[in-house]
Amino acid sequence: MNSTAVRSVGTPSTRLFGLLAIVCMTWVVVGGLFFTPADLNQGESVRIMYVHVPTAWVAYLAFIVTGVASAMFMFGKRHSLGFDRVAGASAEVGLMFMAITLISGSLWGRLTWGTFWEWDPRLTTTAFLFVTYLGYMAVRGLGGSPQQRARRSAVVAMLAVLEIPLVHFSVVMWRSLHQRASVLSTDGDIKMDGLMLTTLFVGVIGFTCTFAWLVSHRQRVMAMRDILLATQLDSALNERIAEGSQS
Amino acid sequence: MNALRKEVNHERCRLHFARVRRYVRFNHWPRCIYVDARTKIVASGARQGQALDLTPRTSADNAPLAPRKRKTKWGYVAVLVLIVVGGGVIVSRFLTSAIDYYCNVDEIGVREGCEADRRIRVQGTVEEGSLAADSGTTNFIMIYNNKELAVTYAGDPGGIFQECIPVVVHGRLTGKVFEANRIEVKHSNEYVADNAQRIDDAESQACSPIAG
Repeated sequence: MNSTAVRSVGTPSTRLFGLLAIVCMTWVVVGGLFFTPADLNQGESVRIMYVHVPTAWVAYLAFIVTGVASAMFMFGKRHSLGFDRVAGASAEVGLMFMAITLISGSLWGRLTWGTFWEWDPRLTTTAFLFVTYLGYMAVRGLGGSPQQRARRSAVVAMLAVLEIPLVHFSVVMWRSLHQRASVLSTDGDIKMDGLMLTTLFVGVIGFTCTFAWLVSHRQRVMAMRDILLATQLDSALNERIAEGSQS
Repeated sequence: MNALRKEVNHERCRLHFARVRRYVRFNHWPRCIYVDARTKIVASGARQGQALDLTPRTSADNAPLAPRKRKTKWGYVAVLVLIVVGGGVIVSRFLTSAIDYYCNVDEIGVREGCEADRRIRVQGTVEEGSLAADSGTTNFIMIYNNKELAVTYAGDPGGIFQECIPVVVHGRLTGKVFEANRIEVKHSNEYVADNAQRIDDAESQACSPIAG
């Protein structure tokens, strides 16, 4: 084991995700700003969509991963803390993407609706989802042993993930200022220009790779932190045992 | 026999800590750490000058501590599921009228929550050819389901406000005219390239029906 291997949390898979993310993001920036057409009604402001929509989808994905990993921790035979770390890392990254969604959506709203924020069903449920996962992070920070932390946060995560269908279908269930889904619409008819759709799709892949890259690294850092705690406790115990045998 | 088990357990501990990389890779948490943690509690409670008892704590009859059983509390799970389902039903069924963001033009005075004598939000499409700006006031006609509503707004809505676009206006109905103090453009979920649409527009001049 050389010293570089100890310090690094990178693996061939994270490098692949990182590379794919860079390629896709380059496409999104260049294509989104220079090659895709402006929208008939929204004009140039439609370009915000290439960030807003993928980050929203990836935030959903992140919270679903958190929910699934939490369920695997709770109902798995070994109650592996690895699942808990994946859940925590995914929630952290998901929160970041959700914040980007809210900020970009707010800017887009100002340009199209004429307002930064309205308490309409989609925006309200999204804000509720964001606050819920802030609460989840707070629960993770409550302290206790890693097993206690994992059990508490897993319960919250498994309940919080149920909000996602509420957020996604809020524009269908209730009347909202926010438009309905264009790609994941229930009628299956995608009403979007071809180049816009391609760029959006590449954006989704790019942001998903970024998510995978960040979660992989973050959960390894969390594993190292847990090891550090364990080894610190172990060395403290050894010191204490040595102290006891001397007296 | 118990002493032998403890030794074996302690040996397993050392084995785990010697293989931290295996832990990172397979996420094996060394459970023996908790045994050691209990040892620490015993050790820290000993008086100074006395020999420390560093063996794992045992129960009163000197039998080893039984491993904690992991029991899923299905009762709590059932209650939580009931709360969530109940909450979902309340939100989706009973609060619908309170949550709906707007009334459509044809619902004013008809639908609950869309009474004409209160401040409301109304949605409709700006009728083609009806938009007129007069000394700082914007006047237009909104249409939905063949029902029309005259709207007056003090100011320029700005943004992408235009004819044939769905809007939500905030305000109050005064007589037969809706006095709006806020206008929001409710763009559809269709994304059409600017240039391509110009050709279609030349062929068809009518407003398209609103979505959502």
